[in-house]
Amino acid sequence: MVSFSALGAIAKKEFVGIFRERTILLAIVIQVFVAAFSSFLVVGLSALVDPSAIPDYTEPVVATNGTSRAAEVLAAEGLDVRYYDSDENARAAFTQGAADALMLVRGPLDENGTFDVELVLPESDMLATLTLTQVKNALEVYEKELREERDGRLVQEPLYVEGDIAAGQFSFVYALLIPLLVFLPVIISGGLSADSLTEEVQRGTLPLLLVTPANATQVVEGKILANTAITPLLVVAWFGLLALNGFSIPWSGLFFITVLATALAWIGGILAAAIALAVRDRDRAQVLFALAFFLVLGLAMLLPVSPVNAVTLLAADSVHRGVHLVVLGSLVASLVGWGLLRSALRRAGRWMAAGES
Amino acid sequence: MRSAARLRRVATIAKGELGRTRKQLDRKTLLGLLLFGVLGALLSPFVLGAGFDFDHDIYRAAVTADSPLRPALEADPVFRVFIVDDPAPFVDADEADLGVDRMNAFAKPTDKGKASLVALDDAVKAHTHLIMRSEPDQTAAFPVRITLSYEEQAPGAFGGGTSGALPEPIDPRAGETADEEESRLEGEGGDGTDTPSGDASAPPPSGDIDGGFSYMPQGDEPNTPGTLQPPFPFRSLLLAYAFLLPMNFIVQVYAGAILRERLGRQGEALLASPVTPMEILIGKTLPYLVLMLGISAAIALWIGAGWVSLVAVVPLVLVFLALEFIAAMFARSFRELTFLTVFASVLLTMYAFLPAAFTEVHPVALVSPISLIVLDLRGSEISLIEMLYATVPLTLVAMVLFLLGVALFREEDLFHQKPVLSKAVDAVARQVHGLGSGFWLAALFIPFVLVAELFLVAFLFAWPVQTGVLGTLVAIAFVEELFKGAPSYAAAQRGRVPMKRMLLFGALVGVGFFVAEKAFLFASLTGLFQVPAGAAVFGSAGAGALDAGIPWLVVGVLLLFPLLLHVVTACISAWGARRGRADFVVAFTSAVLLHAAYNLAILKVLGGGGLL
Repeated sequence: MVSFSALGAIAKKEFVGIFRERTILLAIVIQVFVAAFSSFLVVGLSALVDPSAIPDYTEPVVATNGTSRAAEVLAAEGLDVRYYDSDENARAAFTQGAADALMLVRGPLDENGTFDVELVLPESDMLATLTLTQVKNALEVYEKELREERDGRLVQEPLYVEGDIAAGQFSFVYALLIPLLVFLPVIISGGLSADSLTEEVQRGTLPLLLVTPANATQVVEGKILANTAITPLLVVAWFGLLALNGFSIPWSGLFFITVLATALAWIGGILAAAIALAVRDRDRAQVLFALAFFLVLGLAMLLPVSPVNAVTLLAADSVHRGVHLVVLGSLVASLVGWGLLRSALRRAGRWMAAGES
Repeated sequence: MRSAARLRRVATIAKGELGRTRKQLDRKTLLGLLLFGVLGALLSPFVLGAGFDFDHDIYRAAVTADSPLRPALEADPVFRVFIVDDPAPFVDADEADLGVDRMNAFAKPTDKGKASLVALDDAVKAHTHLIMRSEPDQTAAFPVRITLSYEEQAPGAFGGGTSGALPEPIDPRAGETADEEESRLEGEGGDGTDTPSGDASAPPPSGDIDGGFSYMPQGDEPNTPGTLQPPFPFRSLLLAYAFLLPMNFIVQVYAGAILRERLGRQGEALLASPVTPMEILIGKTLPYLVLMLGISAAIALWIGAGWVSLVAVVPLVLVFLALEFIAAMFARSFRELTFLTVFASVLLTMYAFLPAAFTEVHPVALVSPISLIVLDLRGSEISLIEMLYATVPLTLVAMVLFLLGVALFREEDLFHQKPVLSKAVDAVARQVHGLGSGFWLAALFIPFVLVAELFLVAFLFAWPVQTGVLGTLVAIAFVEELFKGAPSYAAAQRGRVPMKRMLLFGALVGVGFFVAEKAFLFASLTGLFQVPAGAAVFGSAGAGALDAGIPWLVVGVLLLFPLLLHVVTACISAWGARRGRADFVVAFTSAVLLHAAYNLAILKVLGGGGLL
């Protein structure tokens, strides 16, 4: 029991330090920044798939060379089609900015040939994306009509989903943003453990800690423990922010994600501590830890269900047994890592005492 | 002679810094880097092969065994497919997100349900494309073929035509005779050289870019409507990352090097030598600056950018280093420094990226140098004034940050644990040398104010209009008063200005702020913001008047109001600062409220009242 109280004292000292330095405040400020940033992205993305959400939005203007069926379909799909009497005039209208897209239609030489459409868009990110999304939808309708007319020449039947389909940003939020937000605290935790240990070495204060009742193992474990504890706090804070923005996740998902993230942060902390004690320099430890972390994460991507995928599925409420196995596996891995660290520290305990360099 | 000696001292420090970094790369570290590098290289094909499908299995689909849509669902990894007899109860019980009964697809009207229908649509389209590819008659399978290309439009032409040579559109109903579309097109098809070849497998490789990274996707290959890929709308984000990502690693080492001087009083020897703080700063920064510029040049070369891009990167590099320098001067431990580093890079990435996303929509985008890179990659012409506009304010910010940081280069600030606020006060107070400093300090803070206001606008972007406008008004007043109050408070706290003359100092701060702000506004009005919306963003009474061509006398009177406001509020803060900390807080708060009330009144007068 004595060992636990010493461990607790180290962890507490570390944790109090984090709060006194107000580093945790900084972490929260970073969170709010990233959240604002991503809400900006979400608004931007949803505007792109559903431009009518933009105030004062007008349908893209398409300049075309005379009447054609493609142009009629575009007009019927709601695009603002302007007809010009020649290719040159249509192109001139586009280059001078009177249209957002240029569509030159060249019909088939015979009834069985293809309709060739030359599409020219402005060299501008937003405008091109907006316009092309609209034109693409209309041209798909056109393609469908033509395929139906040439039905007799097809062996298989083309399939379509009927009905109104409204796109959203579900996949962006749940399959990209949320994993990102969960893994950010994990890597920060590890980096902090490395910082905290190399700092004791470089300031020459490690021997001081070792003359206290705490032994080397407890010092290292206490530091990892305190820095790991940040992860669940930040993860829960993230989901609070997301909930405020209208993206909810189930309670069970929150629980398992927090467990998974904490276990991964603990593994990351062990990795960081091992590297920090091996190289004993803050900058080198940071670089090596970042590389090692991404290497481990890359390896984990090879699993049938990767931790990143598990976070997505837990958040989106699409859990299957593989997801729970990943959570369980990460817990087991964190215990194994802990055991390895302990035995390594016990063996190397003596040279740490001589840690002033 | 003296400057030669100074150069020599700077060179010595720079050399020492280089040597230290080289020593850091000892055998153990190199071995570790090598090991991780080799492992990463060996691993990457597998990881890339497995793909980063984070959304694997995200939608649960209950589908009947006989549904023609089943192969489409099973081929798409985003679906976890269950074969059932009747999907409806599964969807009702929330055990499936998507139900497919033969050709009939349904989902709950939740975000996830709707998203699963979109995913189904995508999957079926992809599946149909695959089926059609195997058809013997390809002209029936793919009756429409599209060549896609991107061309630049006339500058500033967005939203309406300008020149007289614009051709008039024709009325499609006028030429009713051409009702037989096929024949009409046949007649017109002969004018181009690009007659349809009918060979889908051989895309014409015309005008290919010489490898590397091209800004816009090349649209040379014939597309079908299904394969048309709208360009990623935030490519400027990727560009910003391409430059900022490697910088992150270098500045971390830089900040570590600065902080190391402070830990364990290692920098005491340098401080005791005849070297001035500025020389230490330049010497320590120079190697990293050169390294970062070198890497940026390599990146610019790689993505096919020109010298303009390199010029645009310089202020970013400077600001990054300056932020890290300040962070290292304030951080009390490596741990805190890590946080500050992350914060600085998030801040800078946002600043570089957010405006750049609007490069083609609005000239305000030019506050970010990344916009210059976007324009450069696109081959657009860039005027000198645009270049200055994108680079000068940020460079000024970097310079001021360095100046503030160097002021902390003394024993008591470097090596002692001092409260952050007290350090900040030190940094500002040491810039004050007499009354005139008030004017210059306030003027130098203008770029900071603009940057802060830009962030505020982006921040409140997604808020409801009413709270957004009111919040912006108060927040902007807060930011402006903060930068006006800071010099007075710092000067009073450290006794840099006689107490009797504090009010005069405050008035000079107000004047300096006003002159610099209006000078910036005037420069942008004459040079850049011909677009009315541009004036609206940074607009005030004076700006609106200039636009409307009102006589100079009236403009003068109109300019008097903001001048009066800035002087009065600055004096209120200065008065508070003279009386001590508690009174300063009260005075500062009233200055903010007064300023916000003024902004609100102006907005009402100018006709924005409808918003509130």
